Amino acid sequence: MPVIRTAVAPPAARRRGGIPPYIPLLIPAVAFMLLVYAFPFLSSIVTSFLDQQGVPSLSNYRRTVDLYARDIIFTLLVSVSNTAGTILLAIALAAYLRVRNSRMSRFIGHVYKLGIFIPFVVVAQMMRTFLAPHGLLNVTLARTGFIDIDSPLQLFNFSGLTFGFMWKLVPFAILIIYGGFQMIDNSYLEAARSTGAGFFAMVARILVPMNKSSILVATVLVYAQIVSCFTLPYMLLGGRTPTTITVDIAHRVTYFRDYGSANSLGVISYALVLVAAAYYLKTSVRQYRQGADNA
Amino acid sequence: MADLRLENVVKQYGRVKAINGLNLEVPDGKLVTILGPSGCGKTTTLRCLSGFLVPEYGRIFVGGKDVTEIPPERRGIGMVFQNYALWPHMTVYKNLAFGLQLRKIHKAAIKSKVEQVLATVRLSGYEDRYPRELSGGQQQRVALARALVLEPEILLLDEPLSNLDAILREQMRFELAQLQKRFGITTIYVTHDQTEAMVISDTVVLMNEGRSMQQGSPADIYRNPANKFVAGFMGMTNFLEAQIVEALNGFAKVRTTDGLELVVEQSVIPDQSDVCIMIRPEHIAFLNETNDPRENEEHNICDARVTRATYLGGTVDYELTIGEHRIRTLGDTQPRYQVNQEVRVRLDSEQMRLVCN
Amino acid sequence: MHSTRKRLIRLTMELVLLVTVLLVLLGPVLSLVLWSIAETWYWPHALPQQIGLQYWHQALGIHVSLAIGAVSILPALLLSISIALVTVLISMAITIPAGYALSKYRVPLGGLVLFLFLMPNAFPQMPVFVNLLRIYTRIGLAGTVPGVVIVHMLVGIVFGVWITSATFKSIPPGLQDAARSVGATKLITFWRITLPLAAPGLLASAVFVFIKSLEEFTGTFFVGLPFVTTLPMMLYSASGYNMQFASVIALVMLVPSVLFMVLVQKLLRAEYVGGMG
Ligand SMILES: Nc1ncnc2c1ncn2[C@@H]1O[C@H](COP(=O)(O)OP(=O)(O)OP(=O)(O)O)[C@@H](O)[C@H]1O
Ligand SMILES: [Mg+2]
Repeated sequence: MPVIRTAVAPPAARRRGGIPPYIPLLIPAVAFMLLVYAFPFLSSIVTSFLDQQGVPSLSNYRRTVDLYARDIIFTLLVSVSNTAGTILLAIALAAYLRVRNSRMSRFIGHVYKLGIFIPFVVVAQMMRTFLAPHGLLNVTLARTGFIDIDSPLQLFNFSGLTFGFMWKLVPFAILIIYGGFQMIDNSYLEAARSTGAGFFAMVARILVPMNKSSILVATVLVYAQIVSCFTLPYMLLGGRTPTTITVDIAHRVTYFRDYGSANSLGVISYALVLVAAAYYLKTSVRQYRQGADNA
Repeated sequence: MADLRLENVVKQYGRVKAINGLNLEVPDGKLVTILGPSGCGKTTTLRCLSGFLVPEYGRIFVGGKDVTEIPPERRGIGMVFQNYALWPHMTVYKNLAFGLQLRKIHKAAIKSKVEQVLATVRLSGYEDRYPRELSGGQQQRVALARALVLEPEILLLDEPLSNLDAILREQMRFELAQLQKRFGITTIYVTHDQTEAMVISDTVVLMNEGRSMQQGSPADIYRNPANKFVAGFMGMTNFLEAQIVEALNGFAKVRTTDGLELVVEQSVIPDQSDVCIMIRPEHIAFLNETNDPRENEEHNICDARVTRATYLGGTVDYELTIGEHRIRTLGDTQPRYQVNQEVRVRLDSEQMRLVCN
Repeated sequence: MHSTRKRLIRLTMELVLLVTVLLVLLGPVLSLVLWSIAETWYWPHALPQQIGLQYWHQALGIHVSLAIGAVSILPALLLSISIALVTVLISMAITIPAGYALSKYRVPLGGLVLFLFLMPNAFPQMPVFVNLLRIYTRIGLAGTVPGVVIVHMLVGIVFGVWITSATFKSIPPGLQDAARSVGATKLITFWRITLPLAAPGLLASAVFVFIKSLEEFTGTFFVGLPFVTTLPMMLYSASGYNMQFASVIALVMLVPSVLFMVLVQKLLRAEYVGGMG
């Protein structure tokens, strides 16, 4: 039988009562983020609801809608269509890389990553030279007879922006989605093939349904990047209209020092990504928590 | 060398009591095994002993000194981790030398100590290997050597063999026990393998749900389990629900739920009427049609039917149906009895035990 | 018969795909290279009429002539590298402890802390830069190098915390316990066990922060211009008036990106790499 002692041992003192060690470790980073990120973030929201005299009002939003309704719609259009295009293309290419195992597919599997690592400034400059009315693309198309040499394609608009975004973001989306595809065991694909499934059936019935989460993550990140991107539209579209919200913000600030309107545009851009951001934050925090529990 | 004592230790994770009033004494130089099912608090106990956890309640003494709140690096307790925890960026030599260097020992002395300990675990010549270049068994021995090289007074081992294959495990088990005797280190050994506990321990502590269920020599626990849990955990056994009909001096007459009357010899009879009869497979004997010398004894003989027979090589594992109970037993090498055959068996009254839940 | 034809079709399709991918991927890069060496290129000629390294020489400070409107990029390059180095040093000093704390301790309100570090990835950062400019103007940091360093740190810390905490989390806690059990204090354990094991991840994180700082555009545009001319700022202004010169700078900027791609793509998780440009 277990030994039951009647004499009760004294309780152990609680572990050192002082501050827990993670507090000093976290303070610099948290303080920095509060000061340099959270404060300006909140102040952007607050100022957007104040008029020139500092009185709460919606005047900024009224002016913004008057001036930029078209650009807001343009931004939404660019973001949604480019995200859709990017993700569909990325799924197709990732599926090709996953299903096909040829020398060519492996080669593509290496080179496609190039775009991921090139910053938007450089991408923008590339596109400025490549897509210009007298740029390499138009020259090539004219020389090969696809277009009339006297009316080159005008691409510093929606089309060029789309090309630029997709040039950089399709590889990024492939990286995430292909990562998900690689987690799927070959046996699922072989089983599908043995029942006679072709490439499209395999993509639609196996790869995509089994990778909803990685596709969703890619979608959210791509969408947020497009909405947030300033560099590419600014350098590619310049002063042309319609343009994106980010470019309008820059105009309001650099030409007019009009922080009220700039901030209301900023808040509208927050609103555009709200659902995507919420999803991203939720999954990231959950993932992190799970990781912490397994540790 | 030192003895080790836990008094009424309680350790909680939030609201879960991982250890709930544990008392334990390990005499100097002895090897005590903590045995218990997964999640019963074995690792938590070791982590309290080694100082990684401070219990909410209770005291821990090493050599009579209270160490409850001393941090791990100042306890001088050696520890072998379940997954070895060898530092991947250090060679075998550096893994062993690390603790010695912290003690500011002279380089030459470190070298000779490391070589000596590596020789005792039969790994001389492996100094410059990295852990990933060693087999599982070798890594295990390096982990042991890393603890031994510091000549600790107390050694804690957390399931040190559970990552090895069956054959290696058996071999290492003996080596560990031998080394422990040779160095005379007070040792606590955690395992959930009951055979392992039987083979190496001076004392076995059976834990369940954060408490000690029974402490004693392996044979004692096997023969006289304190309760049904202990009986079930230490080796294969059968239980028959029963009521005590009559309790005499060292004897009890019991009736099972399905009406079988049995006699049990036991020095201390539990003083409650609802009990469980425990009988191990090896204590059930088949009675031949031919003459068994004790066949005339009228007690504890019952009719049974074979419901399953599994040939295991050395023995045959039978499942018998006696009344409403199904009972496992062992027959000798020859598969003598067929399924559905009616047989007579005798349950050994000296070896049966009455246990409470 | 049938199957060989099928295979032929598939091969052709694959070849078409390969060529398309290469054209789309490399076309813009080629265009950049051509522009960087084009001394005269009149529409509608397929290739420049006259090529040369004049703009490269100018940009790299080998020749100085005012005729072609290019200047040496070396001061901007040097400034960019200095800013990046300082950013890395301060960021790492802040992120290593924070990443360690998040990986090893159950921090109460940890969810909120996480949230804070994730927000910049989830929402557009531009409004934040705009309001930083406003604050900077008030406290005299606008258009100064320290102001730019702070903005680059913002970009660096967000990623740095994630990478370092993931790195620390990947170290089995048993290795640290083992060190304590042979007599190492917490500090010694950190120095001799944790840090060496985390080194590759921390290095990757530092390289990442460095590259991010070299490339940073939006934040610098708001708080740095017109006084802090980093390489991306120079590229931006050159792109308005001198295509050749801008292309040279873009190609120079490509070098660290490509090096980075080769160096760390194995070490980092996908989401970290893309970031929010
Ligand atoms: N860090 C922790 N936080 C919360 N609960 C814990 C923690 N560690 C252990 N527990 C709980 O405490 C109890 C005892 O755990 P412990 O690790 O001591 O079990 P164990 O006997 O070593 O089991 P095993 O044989 O599986 O190793 C379990 O119920 C476990 O779920
Ligand atoms: Mg355990």
